[in-house]
Amino acid sequence: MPKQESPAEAWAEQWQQAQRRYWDAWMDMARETGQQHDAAQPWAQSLEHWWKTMSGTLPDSGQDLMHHLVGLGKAYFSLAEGLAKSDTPHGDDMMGAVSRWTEQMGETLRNMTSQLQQPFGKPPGAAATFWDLPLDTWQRTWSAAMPFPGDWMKALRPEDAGADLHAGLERFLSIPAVGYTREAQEQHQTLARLMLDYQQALREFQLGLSQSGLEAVEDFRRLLTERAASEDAEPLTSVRQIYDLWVDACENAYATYAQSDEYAERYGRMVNALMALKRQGARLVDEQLEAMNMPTRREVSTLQKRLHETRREQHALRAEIERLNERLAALAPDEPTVSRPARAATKRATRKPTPKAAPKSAAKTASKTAPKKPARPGRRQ
Amino acid sequence: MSPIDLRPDQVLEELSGFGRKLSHGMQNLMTVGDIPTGVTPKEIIHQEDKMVLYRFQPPASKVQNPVPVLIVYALVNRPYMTDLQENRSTVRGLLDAGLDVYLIDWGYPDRADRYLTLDDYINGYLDRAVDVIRKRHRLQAINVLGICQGGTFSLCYAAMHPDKVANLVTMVTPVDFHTPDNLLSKWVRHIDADLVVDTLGNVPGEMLNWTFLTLKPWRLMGQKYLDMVEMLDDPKQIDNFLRMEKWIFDSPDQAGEAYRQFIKDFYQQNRLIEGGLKIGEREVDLRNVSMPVLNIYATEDHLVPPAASRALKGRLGTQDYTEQAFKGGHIGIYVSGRAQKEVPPAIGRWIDERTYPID
Repeated sequence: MPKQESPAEAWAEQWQQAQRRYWDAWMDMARETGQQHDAAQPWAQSLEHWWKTMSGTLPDSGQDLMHHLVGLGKAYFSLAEGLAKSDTPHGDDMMGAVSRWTEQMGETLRNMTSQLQQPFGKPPGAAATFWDLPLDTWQRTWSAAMPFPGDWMKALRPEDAGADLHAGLERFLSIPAVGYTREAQEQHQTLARLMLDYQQALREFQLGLSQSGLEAVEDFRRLLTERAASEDAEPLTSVRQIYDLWVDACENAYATYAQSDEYAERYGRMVNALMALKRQGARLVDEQLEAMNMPTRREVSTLQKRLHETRREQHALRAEIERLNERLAALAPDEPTVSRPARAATKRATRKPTPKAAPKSAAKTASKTAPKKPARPGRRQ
Repeated sequence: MSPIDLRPDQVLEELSGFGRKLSHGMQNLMTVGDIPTGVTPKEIIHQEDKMVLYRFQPPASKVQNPVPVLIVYALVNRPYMTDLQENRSTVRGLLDAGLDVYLIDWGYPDRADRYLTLDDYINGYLDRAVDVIRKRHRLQAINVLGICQGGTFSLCYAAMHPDKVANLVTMVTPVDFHTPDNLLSKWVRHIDADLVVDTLGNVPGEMLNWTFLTLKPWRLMGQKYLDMVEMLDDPKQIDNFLRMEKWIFDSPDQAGEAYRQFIKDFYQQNRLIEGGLKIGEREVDLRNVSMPVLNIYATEDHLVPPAASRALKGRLGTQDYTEQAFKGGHIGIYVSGRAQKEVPPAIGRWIDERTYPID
């Protein structure tokens, strides 16, 4: 009886057949026309399609990893497809393909830099996505730290909303606050101003990264040139080796930039601007909670602080009582006989009452001394 | 000579191979269950709030050193890194070296812990854990092994309570926070720690994760996962990879006040070596560290550069100071195969020599 294929195996097989068909068709076409094709990375797209179909079948523990791998696989495939669109199948022409890819990457980063230098230009995605890795992760990390729930900041991204929103915000901020709602209006104006500050700080940080990306492109070219000039260096014989060289170039350029004062200053401004924005958001939320007669964050923090201080006092008292108990035990006439060296090492452990009993009695006594917290006999802390 | 020797059909083969590994790997991932960590049997000795003091079960066949060792791990990340899996366990190595091993697990602070200070951690939890062990073993002083930030804490503790520490071992421990190659330190110079803590309360573990990943973003967020595809055929390697991933991203939030002081006093003002550091009401002076000290650092450490650890030399009150280099990185020092052979036995020998002095 033939072995039954699992759904995953069946899909894996289908996907590989699809890849093979795509490649055959692409090679045939290239042979017939001798032209390059601009299909938008169908290989990478097929990977995405496969993942969308299959992802639901994975347990949670594997989902995140696989999602990450597929994302990287797409970037990797994009690089490979760019390289594979070489008309003739060897050596210098593949080098030409790498050069074109490098030039394209450089062009994208130059555009991105130029756009970021404009007040509200839209940074290009595509190849820049690779270089955006730290920033993208930053935004994912902080999506939960925004002043309000949901992807609130995304809707306010100037590059998404265009100059109209910015102009609207500027107008809003320029309205003088008057009358009964003056204070509330000022609070919201402050929030809007802080939001713009954060956007500006974020763009500066991104600009630094994209400029550093251009350094990486130059570094990549230099590494290839050095390799070409070197008699000892082995040629690169796989896409993966090319990718690794590109990663080396990126890390080198980034490491240089990340060591600079400029990076530290921009990073600091970005973090501080986000914190200021979030703090203002929290203030507004607190105002609303107060209006609804609900406990505010501020109030809860005050309670936490007072409780913490009480607990610290309790610990200090307990330690003090323990010290006093030890001294009392040392003075007691019925203290068991212990040899002098052993006594020095163990006097705390061998005192009476037993070590376990001591904290209990200490807790009881401490609770009498600390009236703010009722005693809970027998329980430590 | 062209630096690239690659034909389109080779590209095809590579892409096909990648796709094949990915799809087969997915089948292996389907069988992945829970990833166990912290493999050596242990018992709870003491608990206080979220802090738990464990004692690891020693092998019956080993003659134990009578003075136990307490592992003090960092607040950042989880201490099961020291006991990750059967064949990658510093704890197991220390037990095999004849040591009686205790470990502090700081737990996951939540908003109720927002006001915990370094004083609470070091002169509170840590000191009380040391007292518990001292009482159990009827000893005046025990051995302390501090790891990373836990090493910094241990140094502070030993300086404030030298009578309770018999021998001190520090592993990949930052001492000088302003060495030129310390990227983390450079990055936090312009961070307004007060604003961060006053805004967030506790500092999210995700923020620290992001910071660590951006030390080498393309290697840690990209290249590493392509390497992973190469391993997807092997369920055992998938397990190992996922276990490490679990640890890397298992980052507790940081109690706000402790974070505030650590960033300001250590990272920004470098007070541990510049002077003027106070934990609670006590001044921390490294010259009070009078017990023998073994300082182990990793030569390829990108989180705590070797110079940041080696700065300890000449700053202590003890003449018995030993430095040991491990060829590897910040994580490799616990989990690499070489680390298992080199690090715990060396610690065991060093402590033994100071427990049974040769006349």
